[in-house]
Amino acid sequence: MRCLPRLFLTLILLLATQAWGGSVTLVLSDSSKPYTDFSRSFSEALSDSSWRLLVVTAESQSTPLLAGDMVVTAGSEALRKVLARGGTPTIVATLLPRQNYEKILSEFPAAPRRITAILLDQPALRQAAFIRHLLPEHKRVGMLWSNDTRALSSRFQSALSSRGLRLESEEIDTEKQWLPILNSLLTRIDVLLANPDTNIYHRGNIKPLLISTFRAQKPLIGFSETMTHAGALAALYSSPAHIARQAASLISTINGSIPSPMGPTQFTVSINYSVANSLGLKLPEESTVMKAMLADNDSR
Amino acid sequence: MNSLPLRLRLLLLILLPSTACAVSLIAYFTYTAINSLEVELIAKGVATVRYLAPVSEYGILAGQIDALHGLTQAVNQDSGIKAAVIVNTNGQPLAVSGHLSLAAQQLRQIPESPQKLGESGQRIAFSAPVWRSLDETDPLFDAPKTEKNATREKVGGIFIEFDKGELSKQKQQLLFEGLMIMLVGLGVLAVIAISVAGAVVRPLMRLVEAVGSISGGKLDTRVVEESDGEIRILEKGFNEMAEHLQQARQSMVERIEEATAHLAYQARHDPLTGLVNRREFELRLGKALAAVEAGSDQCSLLFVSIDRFTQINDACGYLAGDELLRQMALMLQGRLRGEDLLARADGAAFTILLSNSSSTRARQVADDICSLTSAYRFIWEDEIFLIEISVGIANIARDAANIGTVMADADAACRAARESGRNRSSEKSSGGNELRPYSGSWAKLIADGLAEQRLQVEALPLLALKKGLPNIHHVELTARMSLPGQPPIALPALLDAAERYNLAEHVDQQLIDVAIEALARARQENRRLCCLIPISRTALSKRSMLAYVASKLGGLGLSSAKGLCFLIPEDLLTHTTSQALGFANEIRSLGGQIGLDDFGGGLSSFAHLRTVMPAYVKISPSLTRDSRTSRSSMALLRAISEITAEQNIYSIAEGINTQEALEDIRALDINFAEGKAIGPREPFDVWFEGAVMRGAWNFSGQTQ
Repeated sequence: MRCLPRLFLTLILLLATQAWGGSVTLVLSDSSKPYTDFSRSFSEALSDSSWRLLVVTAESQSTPLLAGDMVVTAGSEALRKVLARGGTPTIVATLLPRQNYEKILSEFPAAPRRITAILLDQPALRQAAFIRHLLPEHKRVGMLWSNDTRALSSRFQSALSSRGLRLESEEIDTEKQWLPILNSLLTRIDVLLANPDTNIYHRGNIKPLLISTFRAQKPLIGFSETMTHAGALAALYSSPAHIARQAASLISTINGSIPSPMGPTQFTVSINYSVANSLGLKLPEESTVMKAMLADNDSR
Repeated sequence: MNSLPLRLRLLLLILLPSTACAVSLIAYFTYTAINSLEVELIAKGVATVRYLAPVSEYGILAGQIDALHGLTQAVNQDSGIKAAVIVNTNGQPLAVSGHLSLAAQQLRQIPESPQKLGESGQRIAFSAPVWRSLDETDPLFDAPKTEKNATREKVGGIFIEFDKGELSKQKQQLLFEGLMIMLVGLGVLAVIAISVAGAVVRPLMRLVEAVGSISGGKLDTRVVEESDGEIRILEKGFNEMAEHLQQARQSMVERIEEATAHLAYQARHDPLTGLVNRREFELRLGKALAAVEAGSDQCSLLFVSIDRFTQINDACGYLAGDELLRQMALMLQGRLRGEDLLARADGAAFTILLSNSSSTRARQVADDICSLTSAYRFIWEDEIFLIEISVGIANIARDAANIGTVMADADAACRAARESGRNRSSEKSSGGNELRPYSGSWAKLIADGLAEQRLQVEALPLLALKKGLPNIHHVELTARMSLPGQPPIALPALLDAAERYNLAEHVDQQLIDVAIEALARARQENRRLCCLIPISRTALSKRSMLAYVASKLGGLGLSSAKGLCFLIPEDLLTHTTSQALGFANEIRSLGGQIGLDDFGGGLSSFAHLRTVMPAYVKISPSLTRDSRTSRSSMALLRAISEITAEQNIYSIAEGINTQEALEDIRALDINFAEGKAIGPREPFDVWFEGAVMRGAWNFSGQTQ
């Protein structure tokens, strides 16, 4: 926070000399660990390039950004703030799930469309590959959808079936009904695969969900390391550093045309062996799984 | 408090504070225990609902009614829990076990934190909210901020009811135990207090009783010394005090009895003779009168009076009188029977009550007493006295009036006897006035003695103690009468007796004869002689005596009475002053001299020096006898010596029997001395021949 006045001064100078195009502004949602990790990795990745980097937090400025500016947002809040500020910068949104990205864009229908994103959602094929490497015996994969994510269902179905897995999915409309729905789903599947959806997987739901799966003796595969710690069997995820490096390389390639939003290219896996023991599963080492994943074409 | 008995006070003192202490302690601990029971119950209730809430969260969220039922059933297993309910956010019961007393309305009001709801009757209710648990998620996957500002969500509630019956039962149990402990403790305390108070108070009460007993007069009261410490000291001290008290009282009683007996004796007896006194005698006489009146034998009263007792007293002092009374009492007592009563009346009189005695015996006793007395001689130093008594007899017949009359009769009879002569008795019976005197034998004895020349004149030579006195032989004449079968009678007694029977003149004449004859012979031989002649009272009053002297002088050819000195007793001067002065003047006109005998024995001695103007004074032996021991006698002697020297009167000290007495007299400037130390009493003729005629006697000193 001490450097904020200095950053602010630099930004003023930069805006005054906006004719220069080799600068990038990194807007962080806040100063919490994932964002600072991101900022550090991002600046490290840019250190060899000619990009001038300006790092700010979402709360710190309100002046509209002009066309020609390259803005990288980290987190949903940063994107929302940048869009709310107006202007016509080129935006690379990072560190947010697809659901949030789409919801924020829908909030700003008038916003310019020079925007792309590196989403946190892992590609369906990579997830299917992960299940195959992790739990080769588990064929029936269950997934829960809300209105926001229902559209992804077909993509997952094809991806899973391409790896010999079968998708069993259920939709959840209201809070009240989700647990009975989940319990009925759990009877039909071997493993529950969680896809980022704030309607379903949020702080208030994690514990009942985990208890339900545990009672049903069905493993849950999550989408963040935190979920592994909370009681999921394993998770496939990308760290802020992964995303930062991907973003750094992306801004160098943007040249006139804007790519469509994409998934992360780098990833890692985490396994909770205590849960595995409780469920009576014999799982391979994380490194073994990772090696297998990297060797698998589907997971790229 | 102060009005209570000591034992009660002690008990209160021990029990009150202890009871207060015990009650407050037990009350405090019971209250604390009951409180902690309640606090414990509340803590238990709150903890139960607090633990139950998260457990039931999943069941509520998942709508697993069976699981929730299982929970409530499990909770209900606890004996203290009467009912358990799990409700959803709307207050609709999802699972119930036991009978719930809470109203549906209360179930809808789920509190914000685990707490006690309230108590009703035998139940106490607790409740806790069931919160949706919030787990850590990856913030990157959270919804945008506008949506994720969700607060904690309440998903349901837990209600539990505990049975307070158990609690109140426990409370009652606690109260009961506390009370029992207190009662037992107080009981033990009371027993100890009672025994302690008893141990302290019992000996004190014994002491109190003993004090009461002592003050009630029982001085032999003692307490048992069986206590310890101070109480024992008290008991011991009490016993010692009681002992002292008893002894003191005993000795006091003894002394009082002794003194009373002594006083009673003194009240009834005469201290001098040891005989009963007049009062006692009258009492006995009264009894005798009553007895005679009642029919007893006649009795008699004898009244015995010693005549001229005062003369013995005057001549030899009261000690002689006392001694005479004692001897007379002994003598009279010896004559009486055991049943007769001898008493000393007043002064020199005795009374005798003869029991069962006829008038004949009374007369016989009276005669015996008279004859005993006439034979009796009272000897005091070198003086011998004849004693005479008068006896009055009063016979007490049945018609005797009273004591006074009888006593008066006896007294009158006694006076009648005295008037009729000496050593006589007179009888007056209580019935009449007859007086019958009986004659005695003194007059005949003296008359016979004089007639038979039994009067022997003796010489008492005087020694001049100082130089410068006239060179004259001084001698005092004295005499004694020898009677056959009896001791000789000294001159004073002889004169006394002779005066009573008018025989004194004969005695005087004989002495005068001897003196004048001696003077005549001495003058012939040219010897100088001075004769001191004691004379009787009769001589002072009778002119015939002066005439006799003058005729005697003339008969022997003497011109004057020079060398004759008549000694007048001082007590005679007091009674017959004018006669004595007349006699003295007559003698002086004859050329003789006057001397005062027994000078200093009376109070008016010095006045006589001026009136009588004596040439010699013979100092009373009562002064010289105790000059060594009595300072007043010594002072009187010195005064006499100085005054007589002043008036040119010669002083004579008589009865000087030792050399020491002589030296004392000489030191006092007394002029002459007589007595055994100077020269023995010897027949006048013998002395005259030896001392005067042959000059063997040196008037101023020793035998040559």
